[in-house]
Amino acid sequence: MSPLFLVVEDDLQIRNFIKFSLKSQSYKSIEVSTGKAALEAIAIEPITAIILDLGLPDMDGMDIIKQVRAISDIPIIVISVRDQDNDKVEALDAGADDYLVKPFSIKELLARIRVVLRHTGNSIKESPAILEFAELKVDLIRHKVTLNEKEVHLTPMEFHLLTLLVKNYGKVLTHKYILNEVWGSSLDSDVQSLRVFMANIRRKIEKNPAKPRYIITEVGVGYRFADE
Amino acid sequence: MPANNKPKFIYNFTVQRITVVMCLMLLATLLSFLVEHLGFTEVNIVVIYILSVLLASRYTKCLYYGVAASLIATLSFNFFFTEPIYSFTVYDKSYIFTFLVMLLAAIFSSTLTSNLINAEEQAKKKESQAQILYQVTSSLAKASGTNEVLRASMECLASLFNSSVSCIITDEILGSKFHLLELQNIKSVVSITQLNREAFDEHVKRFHTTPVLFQDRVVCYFCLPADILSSDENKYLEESIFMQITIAVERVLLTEEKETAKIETEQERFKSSLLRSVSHDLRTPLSGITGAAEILLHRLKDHENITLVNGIYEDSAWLNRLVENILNLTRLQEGRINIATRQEALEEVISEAVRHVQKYAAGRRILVNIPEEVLFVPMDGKLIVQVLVNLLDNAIRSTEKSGTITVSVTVDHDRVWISVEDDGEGLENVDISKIFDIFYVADKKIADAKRGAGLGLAICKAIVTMHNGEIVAENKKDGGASFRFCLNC
Repeated sequence: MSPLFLVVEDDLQIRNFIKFSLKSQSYKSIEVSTGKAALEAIAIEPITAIILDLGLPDMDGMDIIKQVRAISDIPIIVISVRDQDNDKVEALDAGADDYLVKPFSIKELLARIRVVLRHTGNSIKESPAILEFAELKVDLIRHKVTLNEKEVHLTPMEFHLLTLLVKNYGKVLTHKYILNEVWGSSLDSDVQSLRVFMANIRRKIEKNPAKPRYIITEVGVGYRFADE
Repeated sequence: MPANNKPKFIYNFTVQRITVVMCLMLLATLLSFLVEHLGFTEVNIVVIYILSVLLASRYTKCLYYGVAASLIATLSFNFFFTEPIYSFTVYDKSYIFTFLVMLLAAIFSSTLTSNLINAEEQAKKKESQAQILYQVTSSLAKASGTNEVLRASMECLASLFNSSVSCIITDEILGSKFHLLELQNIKSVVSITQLNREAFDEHVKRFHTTPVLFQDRVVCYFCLPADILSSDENKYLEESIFMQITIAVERVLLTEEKETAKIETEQERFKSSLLRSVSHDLRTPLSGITGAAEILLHRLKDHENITLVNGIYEDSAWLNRLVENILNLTRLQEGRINIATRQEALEEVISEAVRHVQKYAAGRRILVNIPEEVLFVPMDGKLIVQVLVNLLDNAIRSTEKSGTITVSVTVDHDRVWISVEDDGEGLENVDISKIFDIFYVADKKIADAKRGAGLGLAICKAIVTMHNGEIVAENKKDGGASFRFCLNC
């Protein structure tokens, strides 16, 4: 069964080109222009994922994220003209799966959609024991990481961080989210130590830490594990 | 000349007082002769003399004349009415006691009188001063606006000193040179003339000038005729009036300042909401254009059509970067971006910038050289990403598609230098000094073909300066341009 997307966007042109780009991948979609219509569609249709604009005429997209998250785990990709870090962090912390600033390229949007689909395709609870990305292999059970068949030695904390990123590959994880998952707290001062850990992991798995292939930084927001 | 007038005036006044005393004494003596002739007792004569001393004190309003009158009265009584008559000696020694008592009574009463009179006069003077001050305060309180306050002040001064008044307003209020306001008398109209520096100095020298200060700077000068300065009381009054004027001017200026601030905040709010809506309104259609062009690019087969649509795509992408830069520069210039310095890992900042421009770098290679150890530098990460994006963008525009761009990091003591170098044509020497100016575009010929709003580098400079760093542009020895900026560790 092909996936069904809900496109919530008040601008006709953008709605159109998202619709056409989804169609080009043989995905089905429903397009609505208001928050109210969006919430109705979510209640009735078997939606796979939501592509959501934050600035809607009748309500703020942030409220839609919160309302959807209260009842379901449907992936939400936010598309917005709001380009400030705090807007991104707020949306991601409220439960959005991804955030794209307008104007974005279709390639980018489709890449994010693929990530979402892969995550929904294989049930997260039964994630595979070994995750593979290009030359990097992460064995979640035996706590082993190999790069080009060669073992990489990570400290327990580094491994913990890497697994968190790898399990959520393709998704932006905010500093706050990572800190809460790994340290159980999210003090601003901890972000600094998080950066040190990330830098160390990069030195072990990246060819050039300044042009990372795996661990991508979203400055001011968080980290993303690039899967493609 | 006023210098000669004063002693003459005092002299006249003295003669007048002496005449009064002499007349009163003469009158008292004549009356005493009448009393003696009628056969009344000597006590009556003494009383008459004491009364005359009292009157003398009352009219001369001066203690000294009262005392003098007392002496004259006692001596006259001795001379005319005690045995032996017409001599200052006495047979009856008991008279000496009478003289003494008489003298004391006369002195005492004259002292009392003159004190009373002085006190009354002081009270009257104080009352009139209070009245004047009250009038000044109330007329100043009614005035609103700088001009009205100044006019009211001038009217008060004119009525108080009964003379012409002028006021010079300094440029801080009016925004140009000195303005002279003149008021000939209370009812005349204020005339306004402009003064240059020399005329101002001349005017200040010619008059008795008092400056009015507001927040340690002179707002205006009040000029009164130089000969107006009189007694200490007037001086005191003048001081009080100027204090009132200063308070009124302060009040008005503070209100005006508050109002300007309010207007400015409103304009600021308007500007920022305008910017927000512009950014939203431009970005949304731009997303539509870029997106539609991108889809078309994938669908089209015909080469000509692809070239055309590619043009749409690239131009809309360029427009979007321009909008972003304009917004950022406006924010920077308004001081609305507060830099939030944090320890950022330099490699993360560089990698984000490189990732950002990679999309439109086409075939160009972007090399990154960073030191082995992790470098943490205090900065506003997002802004430094913007600097790097702009420098990389610049490098991409000035290199061929097969070109190479190198980003490198070097540590120099407590500074980190980040450089972006390309292997393009390099900068023209004339450009280098102006290259960071707003809206400076390198070569007009190139400007048409490879646009750059000339904003990118201006933003770089603004951001680096906010970080207390430096930014330098130069040509490499082996060709190509090099941009370097440093941040403090």
